[in-house]
Amino acid sequence: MGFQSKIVPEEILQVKEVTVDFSGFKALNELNFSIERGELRVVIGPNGAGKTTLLDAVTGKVKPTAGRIVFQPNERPACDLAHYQEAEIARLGIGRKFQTPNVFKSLTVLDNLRLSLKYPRGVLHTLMAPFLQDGKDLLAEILDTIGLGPKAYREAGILSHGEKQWLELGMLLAQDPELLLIDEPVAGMTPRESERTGDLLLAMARKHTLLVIDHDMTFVRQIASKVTVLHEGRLLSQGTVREVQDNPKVMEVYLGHHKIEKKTPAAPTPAAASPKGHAIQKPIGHHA
Amino acid sequence: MSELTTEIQEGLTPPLVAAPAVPTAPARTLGGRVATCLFLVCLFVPPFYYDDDPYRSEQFAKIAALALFALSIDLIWGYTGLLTLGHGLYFGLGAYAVAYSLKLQRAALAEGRELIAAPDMALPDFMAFSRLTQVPAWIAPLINIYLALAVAILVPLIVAAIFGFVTFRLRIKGVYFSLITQALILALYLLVIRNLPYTGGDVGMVSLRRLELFGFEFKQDYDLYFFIAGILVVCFLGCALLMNSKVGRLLTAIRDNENRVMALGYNAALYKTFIFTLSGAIAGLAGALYVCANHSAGPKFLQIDFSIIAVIWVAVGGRGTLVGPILGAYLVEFGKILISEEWPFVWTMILGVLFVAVVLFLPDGIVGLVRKIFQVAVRRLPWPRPVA
Repeated sequence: MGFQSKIVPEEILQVKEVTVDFSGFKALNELNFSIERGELRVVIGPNGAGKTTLLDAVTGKVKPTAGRIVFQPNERPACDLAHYQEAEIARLGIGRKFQTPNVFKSLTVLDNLRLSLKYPRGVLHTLMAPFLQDGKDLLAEILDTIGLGPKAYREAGILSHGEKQWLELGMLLAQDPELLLIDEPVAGMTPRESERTGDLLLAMARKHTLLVIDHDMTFVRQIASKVTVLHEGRLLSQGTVREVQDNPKVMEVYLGHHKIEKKTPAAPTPAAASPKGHAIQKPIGHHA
Repeated sequence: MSELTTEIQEGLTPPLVAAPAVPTAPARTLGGRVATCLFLVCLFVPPFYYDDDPYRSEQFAKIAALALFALSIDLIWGYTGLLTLGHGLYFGLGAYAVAYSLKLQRAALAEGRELIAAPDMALPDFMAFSRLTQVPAWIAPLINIYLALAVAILVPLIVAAIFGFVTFRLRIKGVYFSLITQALILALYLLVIRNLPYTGGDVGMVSLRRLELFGFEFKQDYDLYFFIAGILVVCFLGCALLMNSKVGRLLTAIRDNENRVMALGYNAALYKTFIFTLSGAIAGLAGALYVCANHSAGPKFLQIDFSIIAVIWVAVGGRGTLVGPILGAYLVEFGKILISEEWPFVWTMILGVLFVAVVLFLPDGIVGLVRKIFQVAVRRLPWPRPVA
């Protein structure tokens, strides 16, 4: 399933000196960054650090002003993503999950998954496809993984927020991409849902390379082995959760400069958010 | 590790317990299927009811063709979410192709000539009035009804394919798409009314010959109704097959969330072009059949209000369903006939109120309403319930 052993490290994605300039504002500023095949990498950073722009640049939604983004698919030649359209990049094997749930609300859960299955995307092929027979085993496995089996024939529009997010993760599984980009998977979830999502991502990481963006530190600690911190479009720090949290530059960005850690939008006041802010200073070894 | 991940580990190796299976579909679609079949059978009832009234037969034959037109609009508006306000363009192209044929045939029969294209073939009246000396070479071959029917489908198909490909490639959507469809139909409208020698101008082509296919002349509109309704049902079944396939789901997906479709790797523009092309071809066929029942063709089809009324049929019946547009066309058009026979001037007002009422209170049209009532009935009434 597109997964190679980690014995030979291979960089599946290399971001080289990439700048994205929104008429004067540099959302990414000569960013250098890479991920190895089979990794589960978490990217954190305060608001405006360029996390989402990084995903936009990789998926072709915005074109870099300068620099190269090289994707190395399994057993195929590497390619510079700047030369590809959005849909082509998706076909190369890069799947993306947006921050808000992005499902087809008037289709059933099962049809959402079926459309995501990895079959040729051409019109003619789609016309001839035996839709109801295709990929039954994989669909069953995915429904089981995301726990939506009993709701397979419900319309996706009436699922709860958390269920929609899981459905979308399931759609990514069905797409079977080599590299999965996941934008804030637990935003707006209850702690319980969040923990389940973490388990789901860890399970997905067995077969895929994952790049997850988040800033919920509890969640990051649950899933991350390696964390990259972005700040103002540049790479600030990289390492294990502990190394990153002990890094004075990171503390400066999260606590000094901005005073509070940028939490999910739910954090109402600085006072309410500050306990989380302190958590970052404390050694968290026993958590991880 | 939680339960969840251990389950997945088992999924990787051959599972020891029974493998998870896709649950089977619930039986709730059965009721809809039965209702649809009943509806299709009902389409053949009106001529029996009105069989002694040629006037009504003609009206119903026209309505059947208009229902096919509504079906074509539903494919792109109801299913794919692209509101076209100029679909009369394709209807009109089909209509004119067949109108040329029947007009040339009538002129030839009046002079007792054979129905073949020739340099000295009989001139239709409007060409003679405009002092054309012979039938233009691009019109003459259309005297063959089979060629004309092929043209009535292929020309709209090609125009729709080109127009669709360009607009969708440029990612034009929403209200801009609607406006461009109107601009295009306006252009064709002006082209038609300003070229009287070739098109009949404002009047169009009147007193056409009756349709004759394979030696059978449709002398009565009663027969024609069954022919048109038969084609309508065939198209309906074809569309039903298509819309229940992967392409149909994908088109609905495009309506819901086009960006997500592209993120999945589908080229949404090509799928939209495909359905727009198909819709254009069906609209052309509808126009061709309409002309056979109407015995005249004119620039009325290319006027914008005709295309907008067609959208109203779809909205009233229920967009995004296949029964809806047909039901809407039958109800609205037959209602129009009945009401304007009694009170000739109130119809347009009723139509306007109807549209506003449907948009406000029945977003899913009549079919949506019936479905809702049915669902509530299933839930509330003490039937023996199927086990979910």
